[in-house]
Amino acid sequence: MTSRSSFFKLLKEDLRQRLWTIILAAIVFVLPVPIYIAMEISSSRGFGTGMLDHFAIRLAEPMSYNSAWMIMVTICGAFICAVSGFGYLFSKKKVDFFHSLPVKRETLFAVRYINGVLIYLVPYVVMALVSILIITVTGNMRAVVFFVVLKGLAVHLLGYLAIYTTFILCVTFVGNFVVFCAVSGWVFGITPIVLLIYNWFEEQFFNTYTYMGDALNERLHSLRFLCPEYFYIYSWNGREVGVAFVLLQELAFVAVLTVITLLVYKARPSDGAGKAIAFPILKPVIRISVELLAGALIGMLFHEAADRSYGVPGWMIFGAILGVVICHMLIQSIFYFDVRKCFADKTSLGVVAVVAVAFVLVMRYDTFGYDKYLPKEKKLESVAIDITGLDTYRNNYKYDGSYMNYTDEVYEMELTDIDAVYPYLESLVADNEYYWKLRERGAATTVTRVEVTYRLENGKTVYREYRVPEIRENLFAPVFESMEYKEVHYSDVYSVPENILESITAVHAMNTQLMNLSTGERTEFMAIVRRELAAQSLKEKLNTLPVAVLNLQFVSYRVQYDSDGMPYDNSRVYKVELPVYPSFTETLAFLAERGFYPDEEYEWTGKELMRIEFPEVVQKEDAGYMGDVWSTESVEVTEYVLTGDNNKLVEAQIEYPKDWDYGYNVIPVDEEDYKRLYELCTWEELYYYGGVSDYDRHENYRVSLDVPREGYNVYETYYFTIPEDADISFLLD
Amino acid sequence: MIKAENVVKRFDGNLAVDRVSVEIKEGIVFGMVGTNGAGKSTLLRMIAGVLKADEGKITVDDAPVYENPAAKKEVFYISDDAYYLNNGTSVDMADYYGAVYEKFNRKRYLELLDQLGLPLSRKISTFSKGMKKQVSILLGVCAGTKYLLCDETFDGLDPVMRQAVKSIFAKEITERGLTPVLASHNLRELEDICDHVGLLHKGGVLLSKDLEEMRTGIHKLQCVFADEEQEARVLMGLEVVNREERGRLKTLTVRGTQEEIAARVAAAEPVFFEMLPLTLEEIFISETEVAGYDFKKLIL
Repeated sequence: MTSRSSFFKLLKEDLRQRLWTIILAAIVFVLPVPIYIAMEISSSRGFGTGMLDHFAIRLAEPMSYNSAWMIMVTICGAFICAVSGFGYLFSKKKVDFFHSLPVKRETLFAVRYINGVLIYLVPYVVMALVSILIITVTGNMRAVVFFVVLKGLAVHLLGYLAIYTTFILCVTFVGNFVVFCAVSGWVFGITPIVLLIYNWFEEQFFNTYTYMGDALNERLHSLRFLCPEYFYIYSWNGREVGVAFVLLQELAFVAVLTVITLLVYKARPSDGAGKAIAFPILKPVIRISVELLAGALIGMLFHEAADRSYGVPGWMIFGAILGVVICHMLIQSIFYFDVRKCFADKTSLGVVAVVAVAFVLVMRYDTFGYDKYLPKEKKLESVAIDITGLDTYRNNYKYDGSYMNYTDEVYEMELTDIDAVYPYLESLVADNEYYWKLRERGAATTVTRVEVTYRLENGKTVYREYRVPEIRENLFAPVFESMEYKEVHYSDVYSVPENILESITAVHAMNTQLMNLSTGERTEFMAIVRRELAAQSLKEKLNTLPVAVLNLQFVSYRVQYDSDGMPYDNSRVYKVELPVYPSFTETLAFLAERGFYPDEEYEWTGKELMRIEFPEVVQKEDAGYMGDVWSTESVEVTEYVLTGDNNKLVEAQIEYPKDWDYGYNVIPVDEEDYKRLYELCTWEELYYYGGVSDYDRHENYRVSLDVPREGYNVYETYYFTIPEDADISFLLD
Repeated sequence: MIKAENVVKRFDGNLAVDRVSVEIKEGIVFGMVGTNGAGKSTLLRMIAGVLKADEGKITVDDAPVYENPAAKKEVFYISDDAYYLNNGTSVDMADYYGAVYEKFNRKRYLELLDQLGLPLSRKISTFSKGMKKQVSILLGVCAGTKYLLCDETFDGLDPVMRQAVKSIFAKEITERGLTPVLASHNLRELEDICDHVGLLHKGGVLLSKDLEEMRTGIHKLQCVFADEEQEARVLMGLEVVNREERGRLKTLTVRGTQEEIAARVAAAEPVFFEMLPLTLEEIFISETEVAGYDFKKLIL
């Protein structure tokens, strides 16, 4: 037993031995931050009362939970304190000295562990107190500073404990400083590296893989207890959980990690000093894991360099084997401290090489059916579906109570009627497979991208992106027509309150009308719009053109502060466009009551200028370009051209180099022709706001109309399409 | 008493200590000899509680020593390559040991440092090898433990210092029953200081005997006999362990007390005879050869 006085004596004696770390900690902590604060205060301007909080926060920023300076100091400090406290385990004579003392290993551990914490904590607290003192005596103190400093202290201390304890664990694993550095790299890096490499394979070989923003971050978050640096740096960022919860979670993690480290420390044989790895059982664990990673990584690099364009994965297999062999040679040379042992454990080398090759091939050929993955219906809690191409004009916003934020359907949407959704999901999986087969054969097809989020009952979230040749109206209709879909797909219409709705404008080509509505009328109007939008069928959405467009303008007011604590107006205006379809009868009636008729006849003034632009040939993707040589083939295109003498339009065959962007011809027509042509026209914007289905519009003809803007000496141009079978021969006369 | 029973220790599959059983009684100077790699240091490190035996049991005063501070309080271990605190002085070392060995006698330590002329405030890292060993021995002696384990500690000590250390040991043994355990590969180093010697070879104990007992129980006899009949008559009653001849002069290593042997030889009235003392080395040669080993291959 070690008496209490002996324990404190040991603490004191150990601190005496670690004087240099104490001095280093004092310099790093106590000097820079207070000096920074003093300099900031001395160079600051006078501030108004409203800005002082922000200035105070800025002063405390170096001590905040996400301060880069503090993160760097914490990680470096953890490394130094772990090595200065437990590095004796690398030296046989030091181990003999300390382990022969009449002190239990746990006492020795506690003494060194506690001192390592004190070396960090005491200067930190002194720094915080000095900083607070400076802020207070200069009259910049605000209560928020305490919160920033305390939260920072809690986060950095817990982060320090996690990193510091992990470094100690690494020290106990090994018996040599260089190997310690390598093993630390393994411990801290293995989780993110595995995820990164796996992510790379997914990206390369799985057609339905989709990078959903922070997918990697999410995975790391779920594995944060295997990745202490992530645990420290990111646990507090962007998580909508309470501080107390995170704090308790981190405390529990640090406690468990410390107990594990103590047990490993106690179990560590004293003769481990000087060896590469103190625990023989760890050698194959480390070696095999690194060899597999190296095999996968080098295999993929070879695939990228050589196999990418071809189907044969020979180079990838070669790379995987090469990675395993090189890694094996390197690690064995380190483990045995003898380069002649680089091929030791040949059987294991062979097995690992086979496993690495099997892994890359399994990924390459999607053996486990990643692309065919579809959770069982019963296991699905909810689904989100985002069809790219459906309402491409829209940016989704969601009102969070005070501000409008961009939102993403794949994150926000929760379709819980699985029975209604599931047939569509099945069709996506099958259609995706069909699409990729078509592509492999080189067959041309249209494509629609569909992003899906599967939320499973076990809490797991799976993202997929399907490419399908068509939308499958009958299967998607139950999804589209549900309120759960529409409330997210049109989240701005449904979530934003009328009190920040600044204006409503109804538009159809030249016919634009700002609606002067009272607050009550706005509320009534939005209720009608929401109701009719909810009732709209997919059939109409995909097959019918809208008749008008509503421009809703929201203004979100906010005052923010710049880095100098100066306030500025960060209010933003959001424009939400919503097409009005023929089924929106009440909406149209409401607008009509206030003088807006989408199909109102245009009153010609004689100042308009109308043109037909053609032909507009779309360049084919897969023709005309082979390597660095442009095709010299030419094509003949039928065009209407103007004769030079009497401005008459005549038909002619024009030869163009194949795949060129053709120019266009302009024809002025008289007012009679204007009216006849205008009757054939559809406002082009309506296609833009419409669904994804093809229409019978003429791809090569486009009509533009320049209309003089009232009161200004300028023209506004509107574009129109005409049907493919439209007879425009009257223009030839 | 320190007791090792069937102790086994392996390093990476290599047998370092192979079923060693040895008892070290209190109040004696125990010498542990053996070639390099015989397992002396490993055995000492196990006795000091640094290493855990793979098999067998090591007790100090009947208490297991590994991870047992109560038992380890009675043991002080001086490694063959001792560690001194970074930038530490003789006094710093005393402070450190004073924190863990409750009976550490700081006053005596300072007196002995003074007597041996060792500086108090100079960094130990600047000391000579011999000076460092002296500091280690003084720390061990003053720690107040019952057992002092010294691994090759006497290497590098000059004869004067050896005598000084011997006298310090003698005083400690007399005053408080200190039991020094001295491991060395050099028999001659231990000869004048040990009471009991254990011989380790290839991880096992070849023999462990009281030196005085060995010395009194075996003797060298040089004699010249009148004739073969006389010689046969004399030798028939003696336990001859070793025999060499140089002309008519016969050198015999004989077991038995000096008096018994002298009486028996004198009774036969040989032409010449004398009894000579055996060196520790000669005793070991005899003992190990009896055990079937060629001692000269075992030890210097």
